[in-house]
Amino acid sequence: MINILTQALGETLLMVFVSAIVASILGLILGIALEVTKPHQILSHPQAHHLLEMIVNIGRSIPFIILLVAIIPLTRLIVGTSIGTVAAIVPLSIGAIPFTARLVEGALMELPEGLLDAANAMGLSSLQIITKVFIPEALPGIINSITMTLVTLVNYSAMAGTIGGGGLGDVAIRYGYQRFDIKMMFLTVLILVLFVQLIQYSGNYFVKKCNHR
Amino acid sequence: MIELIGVNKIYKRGKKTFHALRDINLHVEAKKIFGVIGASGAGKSTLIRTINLLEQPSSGEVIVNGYHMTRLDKEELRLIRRKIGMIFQHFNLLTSRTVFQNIALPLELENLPKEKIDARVNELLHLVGLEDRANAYPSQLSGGQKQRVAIARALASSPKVLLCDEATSSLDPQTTRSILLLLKEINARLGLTILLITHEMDVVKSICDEVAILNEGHLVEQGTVSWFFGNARTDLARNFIDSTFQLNIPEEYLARVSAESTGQNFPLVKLGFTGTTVDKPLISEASRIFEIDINILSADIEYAGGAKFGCLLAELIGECRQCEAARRFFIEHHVQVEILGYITND
Ligand SMILES: Nc1ncnc2c1ncn2[C@@H]1O[C@H](COP(=O)(O)OP(=O)(O)OP(=O)(O)O)[C@@H](O)[C@H]1O
Ligand SMILES: [Mg+2]
Repeated sequence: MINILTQALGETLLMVFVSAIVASILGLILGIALEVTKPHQILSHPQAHHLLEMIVNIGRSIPFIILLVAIIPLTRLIVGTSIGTVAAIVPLSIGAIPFTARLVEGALMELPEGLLDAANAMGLSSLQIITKVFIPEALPGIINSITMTLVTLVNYSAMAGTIGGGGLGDVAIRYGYQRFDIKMMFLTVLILVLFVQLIQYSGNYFVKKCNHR
Repeated sequence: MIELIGVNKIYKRGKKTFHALRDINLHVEAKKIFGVIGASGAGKSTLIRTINLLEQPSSGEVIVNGYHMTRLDKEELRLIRRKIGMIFQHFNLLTSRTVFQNIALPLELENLPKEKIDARVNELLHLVGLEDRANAYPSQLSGGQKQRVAIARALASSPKVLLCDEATSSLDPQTTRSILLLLKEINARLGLTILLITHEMDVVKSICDEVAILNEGHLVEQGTVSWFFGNARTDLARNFIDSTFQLNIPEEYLARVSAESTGQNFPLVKLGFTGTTVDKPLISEASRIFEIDINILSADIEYAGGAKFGCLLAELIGECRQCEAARRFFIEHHVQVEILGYITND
């Protein structure tokens, strides 16, 4: 039993962290792009903004379980197979990107307007404004966004079991639901709960550490 | 140093348009402190923001230090902006950076070596008197200290011009005074040209050389501060001037004031001293010449732009004829005299 659980935990960790890294990086870029293409922003571009909005909205509206199946051809193209833990990383990343992007956009929107005035008045370039002002100033919000993404990915990863992704969620369903192994189900759920607690706790810790507002 | 020629700014909000600046002509000479005063919504922020092109004027020319700001491309504008410092009402410091790092930001853009940045930041910290708070975060500072950091940051790349958008409006009177003194000191020491906007006449009075009034997008009057206090004609200008003098008739006198002269009561006058008033001891002279007593109830006389101005409330005690002669004497010496009423003494 221990073997099954440790292996499942390993799979979950792999799925969640690899997809979180991909989703955080791409979500951060997409979120920043959403914000800076708005009117009166540094790279204001209405058409580009509308396009990004559309992509994010579509991404956000597809239920994860459907996305999982719908992008099987893409998954096969990227990792060579559509089954297994590594294959699950593709839909998990793609599913989490728009989610992260929205949260990052929200974090940027909370910055006081005057900050941009000050940055422009000092003669920062658009890139400098993003790297020296927007990201550091919104860092607490961005870390919060990543924390939420991680928690959501733990959630999604359970569904990824359906395409042979393995992981704790898969164990819970196979042993608990299909074989009525209550003990196994309870243990997997307990591990998942503790895992999410740990993510949230570390997230809060880092937010607190970098928040000087 | 700063010149605006025929500047207009029209905001478009959907189909509606709003004419925020109308044909603004303004000239700020090098090394002067120029104040623009106006009520809320007059267009002050819009005006100051057109100077470094945070707001693009709809028409007209903006010339700063010889550069036609509207004709620069994006890259040139960025470089010129580094030579135009700006401070704001809400400071706009980076909360994620310490005081030191905030001041260092403009220097990082110039790719200076670290030792040079450190030396310059320390110099600026000394200038604004915040050496001991170098490693504090802005959230740990008072409003006045935050504005000092903002000033140091604005001065980091040695600008020729400093723009101040209501820089003291969220500070208490004492802190306001210390920030204004700092600006004055910078102006004198570094030869910096300062354009500031404010809604408080006291700010203009305490540090400006020249002043202009902005009303609903129009510049209605402008000139040196001493000229302005003495000669400004518009009601708006007079209102702003009066706002710096708070003279009230004391309570116990108020009860004894009547509108009519009966021969038994004495005139209560408001004497206004302006930039054109002769600098002589007029009160004691009048008292001596006309053999009347002059009882000063309240007074507010100050110096601005090198001239004495202000006003005082006084009761002229003496014969009617003599009081009238004294009134004419004051007027001859360019003191504005207003009879507020007559006081009955018991
Ligand atoms: N971006 C904008 N779009 C539309 N109208 C604007 C915009 N910015 C300012 N205005 C309008 O222009 C007018 C002048 O605004 P401005 O901010 O320059 O006034 P102000 O004199 O600085 O006032 P305050 O003392 O309140 O700061 C106001 O009526 C305001 O509503
Ligand atoms: Mg304003």
